[in-house]
Amino acid sequence: MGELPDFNRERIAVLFGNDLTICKQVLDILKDDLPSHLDQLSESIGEQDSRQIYKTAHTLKGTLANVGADRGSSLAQRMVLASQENNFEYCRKLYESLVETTETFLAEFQELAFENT
Amino acid sequence: MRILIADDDQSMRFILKVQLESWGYEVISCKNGTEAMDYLRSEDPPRIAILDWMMHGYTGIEIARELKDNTPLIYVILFTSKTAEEDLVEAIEMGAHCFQTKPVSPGVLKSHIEVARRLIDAEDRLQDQERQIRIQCYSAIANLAEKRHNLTGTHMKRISIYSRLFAEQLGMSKEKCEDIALYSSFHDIGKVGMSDTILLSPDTYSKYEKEIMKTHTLIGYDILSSVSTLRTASLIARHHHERWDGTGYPDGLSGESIPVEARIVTLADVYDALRSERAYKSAWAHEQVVEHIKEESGKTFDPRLVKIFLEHHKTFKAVFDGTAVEKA
Repeated sequence: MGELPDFNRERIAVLFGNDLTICKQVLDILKDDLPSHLDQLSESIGEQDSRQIYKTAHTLKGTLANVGADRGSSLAQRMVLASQENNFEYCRKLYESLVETTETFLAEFQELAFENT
Repeated sequence: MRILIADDDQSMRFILKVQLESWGYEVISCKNGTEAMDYLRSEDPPRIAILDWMMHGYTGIEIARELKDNTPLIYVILFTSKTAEEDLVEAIEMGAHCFQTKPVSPGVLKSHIEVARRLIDAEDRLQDQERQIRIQCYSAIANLAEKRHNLTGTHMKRISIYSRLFAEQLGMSKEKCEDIALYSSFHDIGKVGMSDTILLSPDTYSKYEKEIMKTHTLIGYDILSSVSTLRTASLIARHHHERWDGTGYPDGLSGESIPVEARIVTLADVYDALRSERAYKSAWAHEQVVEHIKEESGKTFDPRLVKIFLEHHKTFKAVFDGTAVEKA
């Protein structure tokens, strides 16, 4: 997993160019959405609800990929596969890594959005 | 052009919205499949829909399947994180026109939309051509009926113009106005079933002949009602001799129970018939006809239509005299 960045800045440049206003708006949405997705994931793993883990991990995979959270997206993809095998232990480990990379991602995104201000 | 996007992921909706708006599109943003389905089933739906595969309510696939045979075409771009070949094949088989895997690639999305626009334009052109051909065929058939009655095509054309004017003044949709203008020409198509002896008789009809002539409304209805696209025309043919006070034929309907399309043609037809010279009568002056129509308000004619007629009677005169600018 080491080769994938927590935050791929180029992805944001492709989507929004240098428009920091839009970046800040996306950041605000992610600050709201990502923690609730992660909470949902934690709950589903605790309840060993593979269907809900699959759904939330699938959503996170797309959301994170869109905003350049490459490592997080890859972890979410692994969790999709693990949920299909009911491998909850592995889901728990992936979840911990996901929380960590998401925090880093949000911090780096924040840094980008408020660059030069 | 409007594009609908539906995704239960808020950041995804926002990113797509920003992107599409920067390309000049008007965006309808839906947070689940149910909301999207409501928009897409509305009377004037957006022609391009970008749908997430997995959503609350209806999934993108379920919506694509629902819209598969929709007319007009709604181009479905399915957005998905799924990458398995069988999933993508399924998406197309179920009704999506194309798919884009997440993350969003602005260039690829733009290309999909360009293809969608081309397809929609082609379909619209085809629909328009088909409608023109249909109009020409219908007009030819309606002409046939008029020719049997020794009336000229200009009578039909004038009825069409008067009818459109009424429909417009009643605030009907553009499409409805066009339908009424076109289908008004069919009001007497049942006369093809009348014998020449009666139809072309220069004398005033006997009681028996009058009863026979009345059947042209039912014959016209029978001819037209078997064609689904001619429902309005069939109602006009059947009911254009009904009277507002319920003393008309064939069904003795009264007031608003008479289809409005038929009420319109009744007044349009009477105005033109009275102004025209026939074998059994001379032409009436415009002012005479205006007085007659005024007297028949609430008896033969719908008072609301008489009011419109009185406000616009000069236009009717100009159309009859051939001095109006043609619209129909």
